[in-house]
Amino acid sequence: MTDDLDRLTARQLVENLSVGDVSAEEVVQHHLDRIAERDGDLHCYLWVDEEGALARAREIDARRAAGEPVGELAGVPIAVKDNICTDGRPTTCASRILKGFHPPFSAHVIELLEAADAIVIGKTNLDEFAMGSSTENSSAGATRNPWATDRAPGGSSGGSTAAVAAGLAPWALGSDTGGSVRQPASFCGVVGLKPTYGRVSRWGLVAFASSLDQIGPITRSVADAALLLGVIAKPDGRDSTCAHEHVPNYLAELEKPVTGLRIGVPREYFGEGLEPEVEKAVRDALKVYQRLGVDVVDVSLPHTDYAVATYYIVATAEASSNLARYDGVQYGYRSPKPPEDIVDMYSRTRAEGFGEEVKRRIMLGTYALSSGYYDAYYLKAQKVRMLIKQDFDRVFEDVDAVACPTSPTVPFKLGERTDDPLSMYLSDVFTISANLAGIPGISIPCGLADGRLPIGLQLLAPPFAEPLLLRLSAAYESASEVGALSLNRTRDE
Amino acid sequence: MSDEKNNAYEVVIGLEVHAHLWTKSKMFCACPRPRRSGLKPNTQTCPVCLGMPGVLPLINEEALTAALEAALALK
Amino acid sequence: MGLVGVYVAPLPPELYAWAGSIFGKNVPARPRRASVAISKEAVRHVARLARLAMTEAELDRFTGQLNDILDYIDTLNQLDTSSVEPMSHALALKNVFRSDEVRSPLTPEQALGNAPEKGEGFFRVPRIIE
Repeated sequence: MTDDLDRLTARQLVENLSVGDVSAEEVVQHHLDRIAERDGDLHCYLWVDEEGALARAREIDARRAAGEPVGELAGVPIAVKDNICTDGRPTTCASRILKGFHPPFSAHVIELLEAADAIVIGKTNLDEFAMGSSTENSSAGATRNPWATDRAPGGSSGGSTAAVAAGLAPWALGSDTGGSVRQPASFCGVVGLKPTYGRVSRWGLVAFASSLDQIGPITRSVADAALLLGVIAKPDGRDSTCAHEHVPNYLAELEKPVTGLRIGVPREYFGEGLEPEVEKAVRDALKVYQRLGVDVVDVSLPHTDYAVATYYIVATAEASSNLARYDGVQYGYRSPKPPEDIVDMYSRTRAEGFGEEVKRRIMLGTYALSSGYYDAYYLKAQKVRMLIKQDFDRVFEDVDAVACPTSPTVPFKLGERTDDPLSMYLSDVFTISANLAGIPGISIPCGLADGRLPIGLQLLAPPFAEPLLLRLSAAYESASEVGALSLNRTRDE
Repeated sequence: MSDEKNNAYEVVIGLEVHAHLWTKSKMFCACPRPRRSGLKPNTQTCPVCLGMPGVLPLINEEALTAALEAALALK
Repeated sequence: MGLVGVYVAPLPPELYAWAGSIFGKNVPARPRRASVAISKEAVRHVARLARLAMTEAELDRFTGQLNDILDYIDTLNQLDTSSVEPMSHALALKNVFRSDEVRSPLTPEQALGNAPEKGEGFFRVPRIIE
């Protein structure tokens, strides 16, 4: 049984731990061993907390043995994207400018997980400050896709999705601003959920774009996503953009039938640029839904083509403001060259500390907000954002959920898009609208191109309709063989 | 100067008033509002008012009320 | 040097004219412009605003890339948004406040724990005022 510990879902681990089939220490040690074996090649982790994780595991085992109460996730390790603050532990956002930063506080989601006795086993790689779609923008180098190591795992949460796919963590947390949980989940053949904006507290998530960011679960099964979301979605007074909505019992939703539900397929998502294998896998998935009694109908989201442009004004404008704090004064990197004055110190520190993509986005955002351009760019983008949201409002009057590919392509090769920023931006075309509209979205594995490159099906739903998303996802997962395939596939790589 | 020349000018005095709001905590965080001099540096700070990565500001309701009262009183 | 203030350079005249031409106008789809959306001097100004030191080579590279991206973004002008409200919040929450309660601050050790340079309880920085 211990051989399979890295192939089990988190729920299976919770069960095995609670009946005493395995100890928390064994589970953690097993994952540490797997990380030692494989992470040299894959580079999913920026930091592994060997000492801390084992200490916590032993402490939880001792409590359990003494008959004391333990949390609902007791002993289960979790990998956390390195833009989520972990008290006393490194949080670098894969940026040189936060090298050595140890926050004196944890994110709300980490507090919740640790209160439930989950064990943060390490921090995963990402595109610097969550800006990217391939994890190639990390200052620590790219993560490799475990399905094909010459390919990108997607981004920006590529370290988290690759870790879960490769058995280096049973589940993980990522963050999604323009698709950064869903797109890498699709590339790595795992489940990735972006909650409704405001569902999960952003306290402790290093801000990229404040009106778009959300933390989301990355898991091997839909049930695990339901379990994890249920733990992290508890409201938080420290985030004034966090909803006070009651947290539903997501797990209870999964058994409910889907007959009679309506899924809309937006015609704008099936044009030029969609790879044929991706289209086929998604259309096959839609047939599965039809066999389950779901009505699959054609819908239109007419402003789809403007989503990427809108995003690259709104997100970069917000980022230019959020990243203004990185100045070498209180934390992180400071340029060692003796500065002429303080402004010189800021400029050199930022020039040396930030990577190319981050600088590009800060520049774009600064320009969009600068005097004389605010109306032409930022205000205009906010208006188009409203139109994009209204497209969804209208469609959701007719259908319960929208289905489409998560990404227009299969995982691309490392280095393929790094010279052309715009082509990299366009890989988010199907995921970006959900962030702009604030609605929840999930990516679930629905096929393998060429028998080896994962393809993701994306479902989108109205605000706070995560129960519906999980229900539809679970129905597909049971009815198709694909979910099971992705769990076993990378076992012997 | 003759009286005629004096009457050509109208004196306008502007007052920019900063009203220090009497609250228990700071504007965006729950740190104590420093009320006296002689406090050591960086002893009344938290991740929010230090602007650390990952923090979010939360507006002090009492400060908002006090500011509105001050503005109305000085109108 | 030695003064800290916001340095605001006047924009080159050709940028004013260009900004005026795209302001709120409904422009039909058109092929990529040969003209430049943002000049190298404007990029230099933006880099200064963003406190990012740049070499001439970097300025050239960014100017090219920003032009490509801004050209693409220009497609937003195909849309008539004259009667659309801007969307500033994804979630319609209002009046979210914190009650005026005090919580323990960080210890100075915690506050200064990540400081690149510190001394006598302060964060140490280069001279700010000459």
